[in-house]
Amino acid sequence: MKKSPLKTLLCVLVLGFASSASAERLTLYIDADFSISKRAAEAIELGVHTALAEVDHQVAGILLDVVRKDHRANSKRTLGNLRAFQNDPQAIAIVGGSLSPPYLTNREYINENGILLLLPWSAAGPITRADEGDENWIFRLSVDDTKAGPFLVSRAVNNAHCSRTALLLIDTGWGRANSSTMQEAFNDAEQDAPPVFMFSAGLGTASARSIAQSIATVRPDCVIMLASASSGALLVNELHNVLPGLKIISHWGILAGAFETQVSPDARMGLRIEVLQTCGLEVEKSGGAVLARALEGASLLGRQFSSLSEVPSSTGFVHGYDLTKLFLAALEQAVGSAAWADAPIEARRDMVRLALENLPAPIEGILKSYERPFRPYSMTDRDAHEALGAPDLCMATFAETGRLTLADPAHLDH
Amino acid sequence: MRNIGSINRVFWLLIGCSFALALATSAAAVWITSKPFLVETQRQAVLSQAQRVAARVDAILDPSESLTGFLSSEPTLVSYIVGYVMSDDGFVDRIENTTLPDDISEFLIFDFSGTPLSFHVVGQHSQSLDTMQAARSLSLEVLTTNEMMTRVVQSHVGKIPDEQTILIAAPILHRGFAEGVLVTVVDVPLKNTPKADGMVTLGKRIVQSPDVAHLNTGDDNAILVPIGSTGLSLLFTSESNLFKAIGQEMVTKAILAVSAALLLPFGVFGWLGKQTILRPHAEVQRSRNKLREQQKELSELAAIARKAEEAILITDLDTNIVWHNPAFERISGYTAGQIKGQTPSTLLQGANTDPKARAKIRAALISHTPVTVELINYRNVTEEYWVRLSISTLFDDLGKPYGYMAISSDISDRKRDEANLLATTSAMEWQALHDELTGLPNRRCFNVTFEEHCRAEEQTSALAIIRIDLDHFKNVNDTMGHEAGDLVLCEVARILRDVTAGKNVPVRIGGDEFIVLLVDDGSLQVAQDLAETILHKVSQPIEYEGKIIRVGASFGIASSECMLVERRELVRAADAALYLAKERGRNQVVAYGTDEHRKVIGVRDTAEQIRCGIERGEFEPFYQPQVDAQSREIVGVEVLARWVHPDRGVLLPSSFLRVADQLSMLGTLDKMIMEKALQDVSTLEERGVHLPKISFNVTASRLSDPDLLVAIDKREFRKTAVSFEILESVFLDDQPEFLDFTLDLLREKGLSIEIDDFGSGHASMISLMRVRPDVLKIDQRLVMGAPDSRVCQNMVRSIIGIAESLEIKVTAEGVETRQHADMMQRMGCTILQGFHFSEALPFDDLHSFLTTHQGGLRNTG
Repeated sequence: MKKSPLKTLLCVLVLGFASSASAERLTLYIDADFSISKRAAEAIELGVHTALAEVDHQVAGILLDVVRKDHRANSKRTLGNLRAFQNDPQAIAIVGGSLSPPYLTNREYINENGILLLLPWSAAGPITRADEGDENWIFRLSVDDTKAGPFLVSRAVNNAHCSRTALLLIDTGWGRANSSTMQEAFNDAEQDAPPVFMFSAGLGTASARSIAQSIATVRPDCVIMLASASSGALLVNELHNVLPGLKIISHWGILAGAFETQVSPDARMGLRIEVLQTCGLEVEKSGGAVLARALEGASLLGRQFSSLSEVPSSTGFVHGYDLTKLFLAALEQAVGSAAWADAPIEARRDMVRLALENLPAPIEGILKSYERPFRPYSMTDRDAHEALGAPDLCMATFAETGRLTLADPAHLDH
Repeated sequence: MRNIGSINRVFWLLIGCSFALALATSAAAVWITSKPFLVETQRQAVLSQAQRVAARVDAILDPSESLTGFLSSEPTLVSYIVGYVMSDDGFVDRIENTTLPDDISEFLIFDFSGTPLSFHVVGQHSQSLDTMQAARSLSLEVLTTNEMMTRVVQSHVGKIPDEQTILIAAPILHRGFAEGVLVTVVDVPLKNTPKADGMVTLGKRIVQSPDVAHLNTGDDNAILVPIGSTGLSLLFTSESNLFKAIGQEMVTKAILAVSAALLLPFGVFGWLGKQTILRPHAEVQRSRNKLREQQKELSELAAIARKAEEAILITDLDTNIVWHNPAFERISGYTAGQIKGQTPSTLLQGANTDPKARAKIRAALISHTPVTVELINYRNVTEEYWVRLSISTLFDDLGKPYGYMAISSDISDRKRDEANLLATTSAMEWQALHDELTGLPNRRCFNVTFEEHCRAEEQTSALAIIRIDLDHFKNVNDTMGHEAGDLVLCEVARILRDVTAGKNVPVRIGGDEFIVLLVDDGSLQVAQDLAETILHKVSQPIEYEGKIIRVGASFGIASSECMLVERRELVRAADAALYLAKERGRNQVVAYGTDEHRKVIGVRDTAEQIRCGIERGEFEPFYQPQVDAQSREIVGVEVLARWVHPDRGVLLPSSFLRVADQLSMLGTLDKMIMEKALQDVSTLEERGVHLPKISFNVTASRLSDPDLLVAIDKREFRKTAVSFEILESVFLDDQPEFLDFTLDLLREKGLSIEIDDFGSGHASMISLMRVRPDVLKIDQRLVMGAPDSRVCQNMVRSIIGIAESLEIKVTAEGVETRQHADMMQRMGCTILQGFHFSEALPFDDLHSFLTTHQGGLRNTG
């Protein structure tokens, strides 16, 4: 008998309410940009809720609540949220939402204060790589720029056969970290050092035009771009005016918002834009069972999704779902230990952290089956808190409708 | 009945009151009619000024608002506010490269929660806590509304501020969301400077427009003007009321104008009233008063005359007494019965009444002129008394004489006092001109008499002066007492009185000094004879209390007969002769003759030349080198004064020192020589020529001159030591304390002390030990005498022995031959000085000498 989605949701809520009367509760924070990159944040939230819903929001009798925190792409707001988490005796972990800067800025604070942070979106390489001697409390299931940078450079050099590539990077910790990574990649590929153009986070139309004109002076045939959706859209529109036909290889930052609607169709199609993705679309293409189940679960929570490309900022959903699955496994493992019952919240967070680093059984996610996704972090294993790697990266492009489609490897090579 | 003064006062008071009332009424009318106009004028003035100020404030705020909005969207600021960059350096660079309005004092940056992140002072001063709190509160509002806002900081409530702080806050938008706030602090000057009285003084204050309705300014004249579109308003309150000031001025002017207009009619009215009412009344009153005053005056005069001390007589034109007062009876001694019908001349005058005075009175009576005389009257015919009498003619109203009035007072006492004073004055004059002891004329008398004879137009006979000075008179006083001394002086006076006759004047001019002024026949021979006579008589023994006293006398004579000096110079010439008499052994007579005159003239010439020489700087330091007895190296020089005379060549001190001393010019000379010598040594040092030491001869009195030490302190050389040579004879005097003090001071300053001409005086060993000299200089007479005199040799040895025992050096002066040099060296002298090595050299020669003999004077032996 097929249950209607509404009835399923009601059951979940009723059961959750019934058990909340006496059961222990823990809280999972979602600190994301629910204002500007609302789509990405909500996609993550959807992924988290979908995964939680699969276990009825509880692990070993502990009920899991979700609290939404909006950081508005403001590192200082994230810091406020981190402090609120710290002072919350039920807060077990934070899922960090779209954008890297809030976590780059606050990385030391997070690690010094034992804040368990799970990142399904932020791509900046240094975030998950604590300094020597520091503990590492940050786990990522997303694109890792240390892999993405060389991937994008390789895409430009090997696939698009760009002879003169310019780097167009947002002037934040994320952009600056990628600048060095990608320049190294150019160097490794025995290419000339690319000209680098940085732009401020609060970019306006006039500044975007000025930067586009500056870029035009070096006459590039390709641009690798790291930008947010809004600033990316401004830049792409202006670049289309001064360098029509330019190939743009973009980091996925532009997917956090309604990039495709802010860019004119002419520009979108004329400029041949590719955007970095994890390989969710590929998985869908090959018919992943977990994805289908997840989409089904997500559909129970509100909007109906028949395919992954229908989910706005779908990578957020995919990563949020997979990362929550890993978290739930770790929590279950931690709760099962003898010390859990009497441990204060700080110790419990640590126990979950250790469990994440030591997940023994493979966990089935949308993107793949995660086998030992995290390991104890050390300076010799700098990727220890990275659940994904270079093989998990793909490129997507915009269909005429604005939807993302998996990019042909030779998409730009013509 | 009111008197005329009171009537006058009432009259003018009424006029004044009417005038004042008219003025007051006019002023009130002006005030009442002009007040509404003034109030409106003030309101328009205040409004006009308020609008101007509001426009000015808007002109200040408008660019600041634009700038704040512009800066708030600065990308680097946005990155900073959302934490993408950790510092706001980008923003700071931006504001530093932007031309900011002068009135902006500070930028404040708040984060999304209204927490201040940083501030940047760009004006003169940072803001107060009030401002910070207001800015924070404003930032919270802006974060809520996402709109730009302007606020005034009300930190001066209750006062009228000179400037006000305005906050302009703009949201810092990140992707359309207010993630922070940029607050610009603007100080708006209001210039609430009080102005002078009578001018408009306005209180200006900026307030929030919504608050205006709630403001209680306490002033009905307060005016509110919106400031552009800032949401602020300017509140104007007038502290000093314009309309009061203008009103006062208007009323004042109105009163002045009305006063001017009313003055004429009131003046005419007053004048007419005075002419027609007051004046006739006043005439009558004045006549009455005059009559009363005359009556009173007469009765007072009569009373005064009766009570007067002076005797008053009234006679008719024939001088018959018609009235007298009681004082006349008292002074004249006559009764009223005896007086009546008598004339004053018969009644009062007698044998000793001065006929001249009587004649003077008669002439005055005839001519009817007033007269005053002093004359003798007789009381009861027999007793004389002096009166001072004034007589005036009495005239009636028509100017016709009808009698005489005589007023007299008894001046007998005054006349007696005058006679006594005359007698006393004569005695005092005599004492002033005579010596009390001997009765001889004194110096003052002599001066007067001598001056008279010098001035006399006829100088037929010669004038002579005999100047007498008793020899060793002090001994008489010291050994036999002052009475004996006085006896001697009286005896000498007697002799002088005896031997002088006619107009010749014997004088005691002081102490044991006498002069005889020969006026009758002042020839040199007569004077010499007289002097010899006096010498003879004075030399005779005088007996005093059974003992014999002998005194001698020295005489100096000068006569105008010799024609050597002017008459007035005779006393000085006699002095010079007396000086010679004393110099030649006393108890003799010396006349001022041609030889003596030549000497005096010679000294005078020398003195004049020295004066000129000093002015022309002809006195030069010469330097006699001193050498080490063993090594023959130059160890110093002694500075010797020389007069480089333009005509007479180089003169030694013997030719000018004595005269310079007499002229008290020795100090000036010493100073000049020392200054030149110090300058010379500085020159040597500049030229790189080394001089180990320089010695100056100084007298005891020169040592006490503070200029000496100042001159030494100011010397510009440091390598050459300075030494002072002091004569051994200095120690013969009672060593004054200053000497010890000065010598200590010199030593502290690093100067050395040498005793000059040692062996010629009588310095005691104790004195030497006290002075602790650095060098003894043996008198050159001993050195020069040494080769031939064993005594001299022994003396030299003794001195060297003394020096050795004091552990000081010995310099031999007067080393003129090689024999001297060798002998002194053998005997133990450490330093040698004399012609054998070098005479005293002028500066240029010294320079050559030092340059040539840097290595010593071996070749000189």
